[in-house]
Order: sequence, then structure tokens, then C-alpha cells
Amino acid sequence: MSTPTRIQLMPGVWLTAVRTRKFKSSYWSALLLTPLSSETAAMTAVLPRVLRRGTAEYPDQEQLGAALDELYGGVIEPIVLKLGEIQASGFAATFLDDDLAWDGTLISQTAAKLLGDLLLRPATRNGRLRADYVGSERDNLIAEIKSLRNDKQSYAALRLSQEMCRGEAYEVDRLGSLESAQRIRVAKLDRHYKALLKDSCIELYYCGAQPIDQIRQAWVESLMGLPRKSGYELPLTQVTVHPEEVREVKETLDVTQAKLALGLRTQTRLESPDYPALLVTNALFGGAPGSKLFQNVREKRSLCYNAVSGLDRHKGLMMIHAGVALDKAEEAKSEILAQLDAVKSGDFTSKELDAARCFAVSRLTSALDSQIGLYRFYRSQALADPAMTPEALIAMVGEVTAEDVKRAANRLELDTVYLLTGDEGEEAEHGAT
Amino acid sequence: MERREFPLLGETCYFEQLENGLPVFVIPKPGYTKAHACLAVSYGGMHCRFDDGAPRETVAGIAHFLEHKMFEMPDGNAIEQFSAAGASVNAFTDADMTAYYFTCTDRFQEHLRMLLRFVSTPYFTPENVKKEQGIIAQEIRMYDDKPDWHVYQNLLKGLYRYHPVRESVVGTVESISEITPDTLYTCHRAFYYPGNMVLCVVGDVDPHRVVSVARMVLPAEAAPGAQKDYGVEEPAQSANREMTEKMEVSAPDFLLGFKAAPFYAGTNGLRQTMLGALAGELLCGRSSPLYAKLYADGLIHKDFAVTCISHPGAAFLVAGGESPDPRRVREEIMEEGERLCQGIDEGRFRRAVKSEYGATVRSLNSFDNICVQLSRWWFSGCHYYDFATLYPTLTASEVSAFLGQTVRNETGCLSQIQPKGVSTL
Repeated sequence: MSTPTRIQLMPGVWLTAVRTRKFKSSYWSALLLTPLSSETAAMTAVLPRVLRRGTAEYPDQEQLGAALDELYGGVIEPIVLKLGEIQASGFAATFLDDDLAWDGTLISQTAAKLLGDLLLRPATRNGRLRADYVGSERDNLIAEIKSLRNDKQSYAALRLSQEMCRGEAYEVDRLGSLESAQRIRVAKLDRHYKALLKDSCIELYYCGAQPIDQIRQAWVESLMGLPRKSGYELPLTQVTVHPEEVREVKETLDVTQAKLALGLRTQTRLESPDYPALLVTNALFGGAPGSKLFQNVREKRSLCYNAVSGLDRHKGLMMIHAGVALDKAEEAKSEILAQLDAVKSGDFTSKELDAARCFAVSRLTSALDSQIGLYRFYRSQALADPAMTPEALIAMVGEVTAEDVKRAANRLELDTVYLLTGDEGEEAEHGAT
Repeated sequence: MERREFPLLGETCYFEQLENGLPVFVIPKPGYTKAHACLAVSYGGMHCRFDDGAPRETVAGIAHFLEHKMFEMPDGNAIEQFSAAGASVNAFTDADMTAYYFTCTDRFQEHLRMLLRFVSTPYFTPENVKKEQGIIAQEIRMYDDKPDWHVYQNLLKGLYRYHPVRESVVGTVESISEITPDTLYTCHRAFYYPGNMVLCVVGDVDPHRVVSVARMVLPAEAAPGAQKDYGVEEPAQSANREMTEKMEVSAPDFLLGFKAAPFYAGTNGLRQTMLGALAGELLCGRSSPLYAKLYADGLIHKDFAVTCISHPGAAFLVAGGESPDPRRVREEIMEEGERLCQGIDEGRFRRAVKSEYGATVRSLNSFDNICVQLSRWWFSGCHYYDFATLYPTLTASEVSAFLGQTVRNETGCLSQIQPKGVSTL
């Protein structure tokens, strides 16, 4: 694997660039990083969508679309992410690699320029963001926030993190709240935009076949005029939280299957020496295809189709999700917790441990063979201090022992159990399965 | 093995068809650690009816049920065997195909042997079938709670009166309760023979070793298979102009479909599918004037997408997403279709071809996608990578003609999920 280059382009602006010929395309991203806060989250979320509507040069979607089509169907998406208690807002983009163009189009240079234009030189009226774009993207954001409950599985995940992290910055959703979205106005958003440009740390990313120097130069040119100050610091995420008691939350909606979600605190940061053991523990317990949850909750007990665990590596959370028959939720919960106790007390075979370790190693290794995998890895490492190379992390995961897993498992503290269920009448109608 | 270069794509493809009829594709990827293998079967949710010497009528969801059950081996679960060695194995069933695949970063040949072995080893008992009924019932319930799933299933039923693509791939809790080990053995015999499958491998592997492993594990002889029965002829008109269901959603969700004349098999079919996708993009894709207008008017959101789907005997254009007024969107799309029938601006057409081409080449980053496309198009009788030379042959007048024949009232169906009651938000 080619090692990434990490360069500071301006105060608080960092570029991670990976040069590789493995892919047909290049991958780009530009993210503004700010502390997640209920005051500003909706504005920060709507901003890249407003900017994506048009630049000074291509002031509407049709013209911007034509410019992207000319670049062999390049894609630039507005994105907003929650990385622990940091809200990251900006663009992710992918373009065909220059060498695969029919007609010698200079794809990469134009791509960098477009991204810079989107960020710094939007379509404006009277020196401000366009009111029609702000209004329509505000409405879209409101619709999207309302639609979060449409898919009941992801809604359960959202509700779990809200309930579990009440009072912490993390309880704010990446899109902000409905109320704060409704309060978005042009003048305030325009001020917020200008403040964000000046105040936030900016993470740039490139992965593709072009020489790094050329990419660096292209970024520097495209970000000309970016306001900067002195002294930038990344916001910190609170990871160590010890719940006093387990919170149980139950909600009723129109579902034919109950969605059970359990939230645990891992007490482990990304850069912690215990992080590799946590990866293996998660694989062994519920993250890998042949995990304890799969073997027992699904295959032995036939309780569900999916029972999986996953990590929020930035916030230090483990979330367990299962879709179960309405009348089997309690049984599934006890079985899941019994499996967790088994891992805690070291009740697993060396074969299970080997499989989990192999899975965790293989997952990291395959990530290096994928555009998105590489991007996600370096995106999260950009927030770690010190950052780790994938090779170093893979080596550490490969050496995780049974004792390490037991220790990591025993640091897990159950915080909240969330259950989304249907009303009892529905149950009778569908019958037990 | 036959070796073909695709210089436009920067790809090389090795190919051989074994004595037993199994086609083997290998796409070498030097410098990659991960390798991906996929064994696809030309058998899916729409193949409930077939003739293997006797006419058979099996229940909805059987192909998908069989896919689940293949992982069960006399010596344990294949998923656990793969994960014991750090590989991820999985499978999917869609309307016309079942595919089993794994990704690994180590011990590739061992995993390849396992893949070929478990897909060719049926092992069904009353107990393990009963257990699966519980698991799949929960999978069905999971889809039951997804509005996206309903809107698509309803669209298929609205577009097709007879064609079996209208059946749900997973079936229903009731239909799968009728499945027995015997029916599973019958279906496995009817469809899981080498001549009805494709093996596709992508990674830094030796193509010749892949072929020799396949020869070692699979039966040497070709086997007779079943005749697929697609039922009576499907009319050109849609079965219903509108399908509406109420669910607990915040705003209407819709899919607007237009039934096309079924595509040809072979390279022509690939070209038609590309043409259909291009027509969709020109009609209402991300950079079309109509998209910009609908979006600016708040009638569609960024989840709006358009695509062209093709199965044997069934092809359709489909567009949709969330909208406050799906019927308005339908009207506007119909009007735009009529306009484009009159002719398409050459500059716009050329840009759209460039864009579709770029997106298709980019999609070759995904090993998984390479395997699925190569298999799907093999079953249809052509080499998927030929898309590269086909794009420049597409013309604006063909797109106009396609839209003229396809985007019509009588071929269309609007499937909607409308919010139930008053949202509590």
C-alpha cells in the first residue's frame, strides 16, 4: 500500500492524499469540522446542500450538472456526518480517473476547482446565499428529518443514541432537530457559513492516480481566498461515561416486527491501546458473520434474521440491533445479554477467537483495497491523536489475546435498552411465527 | 483459457467453459490483497414454475429459501466455516438470479473449494427447514416494515399482470411454511447444475488454478436441467395505472414505472439496457432540466433516482423517491417524455453518454459488481465488458424512439405509499 501524504495547506487545513493506480476513479472530500451543538447543527447540515445548488460560475443545478457530465459523470454530494461529537459537513466526490477519459479531458484539475468553487464561491444574490436556495433546502431538510422514522430499523438506532446520550453533545442528530431546521433563515445562515469557513478545521482528502504535488497545487489554488485565523483545535468527544443504571425505553409504532436496540459504553478511544482488542471483541460477540449472536440468537434459537453489534469508534459506543417477533423481544434480549456475559467471562473457544481476529484483520486489509474503505479509515484517523497507519493497526489486531478480549468485554457497560414494538392487537393478527 | 483485453477499461478477462458446462471468468487484479469469488445460479424469485420432466409449481420465495438452506452442510454451517478462516461469505437472491460469494485476504483456494462445495451439496432435513422458516419469517417481517420494499413490490404488481417478476422474491410467511426438504431437493436438482451457473473470480489470483479447483470440486459431467416457465404472454399495457398503500411514513413515497417491450437476449439486450438507462437519465436524471425544475419546485428531493431494470421477458423504466405530490411528478415526466420524443439536443445527448460511460467504468471498482454483471450478462448471452464499445454506438434518435414507445399512460404505473393518519411529529 502506498503511504498517504499528510500536508498542512493553510492554518487548520490538512490534506490527506493517497496515490494509487488501483482504482478506475479518484475520490475526494472536503469537510469542515465543528463541535456538534443543538444551536448550529441544522444550519451546518443544510449548508453543503445550499452550496451544492450552484456556484458563481454554474449558478443552477442544470449548469452544474452539465459541467459534471462533461467530466464523465463526476459526482459531488453534499455530506454531513457525526464523527463522535464533531459535526463534519462538506462534500464527497468521485470522478473517473484522468487516464480513462476518451478525449484527454483534464478531470482532476477541474474537479478540484469545482470543489473549491462550491465551498467558497457559491451562487449569491446581493452578496448573500440565495434566499430561494436556502428556503428550498431548509424545506428538504425538514422533510428529511421527518422521514427519519419511516425506516423503523434505522429509526430505532437513532432513538437509542438519543436516549442513551441525553445531556451529552452526542444526543444531537447529524441533521439537527426539526425545530432548529424550521428556524433556518438566510441572514443567519449566511453569517454561520462565513464563520464556519473562518473558524473550522478543514480536512481535505484525495485518493487516485495523479501525482500528489499536482493535487496539492490544485487544492491550494481552488481554496485561494479561504479566510483563516490563527490557532485551530479539533473539538473533543466525551468517551468515558459510566451509567449508574440501565435505562429501559419502550415505544409503540405501527410495526409488524419489534426492533430491539441495546447501547453499551466501550470506554475506549480510537487511539487507545485497547482499541484493537475492542475490534476483535465486537467481531467475536456480534460483528462477524459467525459471531456469538449469529450462532446463538439466530441459528440456535431461530429468534431473528439479524442480530448484530457495531461500534461507534469515535464516541465509544457499541450498539446491538435485532429484529424479532413482537412477542419474542424479552427472550431475544436475555439471550443477547447471556452471550455478552459469556464473552465477559471468557467463555469462548480458541477457534472463535481465531475467527474473530481473522475477521477483524481481513476487514481492515480489504478496506485498503477499496476507495470508500480507505477514505473512511483516513477520515477517522485524521481525528485521532496520534494517528495510526492501517498496517500498524492490523499488526496490533493480529496479536489480540483471549485475555485482551476478556478485558475489553469487561469494560463494556450496558447503558440503555430501546424497544420499538407494535401494539398488541397487531400481534394477534399476524400470529406467532 | 481464453484471454481478452479491454484496453479502454484497462481490464483483462480470462475465460473458459468447462466440460460440465460451467463458465469460468477470472479478472486478474494485480496489487490487490483481497480476492472475491462469486458462484451465480440462473434461478431466482420468478422461476417458481418449471418443467424437469414433469410440470412443477413451487411456492413464492422458494429460490430465496433454498439460498438460505445451501449454507447448511452435513458437517456444520458454511458461514461458520468461512468465518473460522476470516473470510466473509454471503448470498443474495433476486428475481432471476441467486449468487453466492465471498471475499477473503488469505487462503483463497481453500475458500474457493468451500464455496463450490457448499453450493453443490444439498443437505435439507425437516428440522433445519423448520428452523429456517422462523429466521426467514423474521426477514419477511423486516421487509414488511420497510416502505421502500412495499412501494417496489406494488409497482411490479401494478406493471405486470402475469409475468412472474411480480412475485415477491422472499415470498410470504404463509407460502414459505409449505416448503419441505423434498421441494428443496427438486429445485436444487433442477437449477443447480454447472451449465446453469457462472463462476466469477476477481483478484490477484492465478486463473488456471481457479479452473483446476472448479474441475476438482464440481461434477465432471454435464447435467440436464429444467425448462423455465414464464407463464402466459404479458400484454404491453400495465395491469394497473395506480397502486396506493398507506403506511406510517412522514410524506408520500413513490415509484413511477413504465413497462418497455422485453429486451432481446445477447449483446443487443445489453445495448438496449444501456439505452434504457440513458433514456431515463435524459428524461429526469440528475443533470436533466426536468430534474432541476422538479427539485426547485420542491416536488422531488435528493433521494429521487431513475433507472432501467431488465429481466427475461420483463423490462421497465422506473423513477421515484419522496414527493409531496407524486401525481404532479408523473404529469411532468409524461410531458417531458413527449417533448423528448420530438428530438434531443445533440450536446446534451453527447454529455449524457459521457456521463453514463464514466459511471459504468467507475462501477468496476467494485469486485462484487463485476461478478454480478459478468454473470447476469452471461446468462443473457453476452460479455458485459462489451459495454465499452457499445456506448459510442447509441444515438439520440433511438432514445427518442424508446421514450416514445415506453413513456405512455397505458404502459405506466404509479405506486405510492401515502402517510397513514396524522403524523405525530
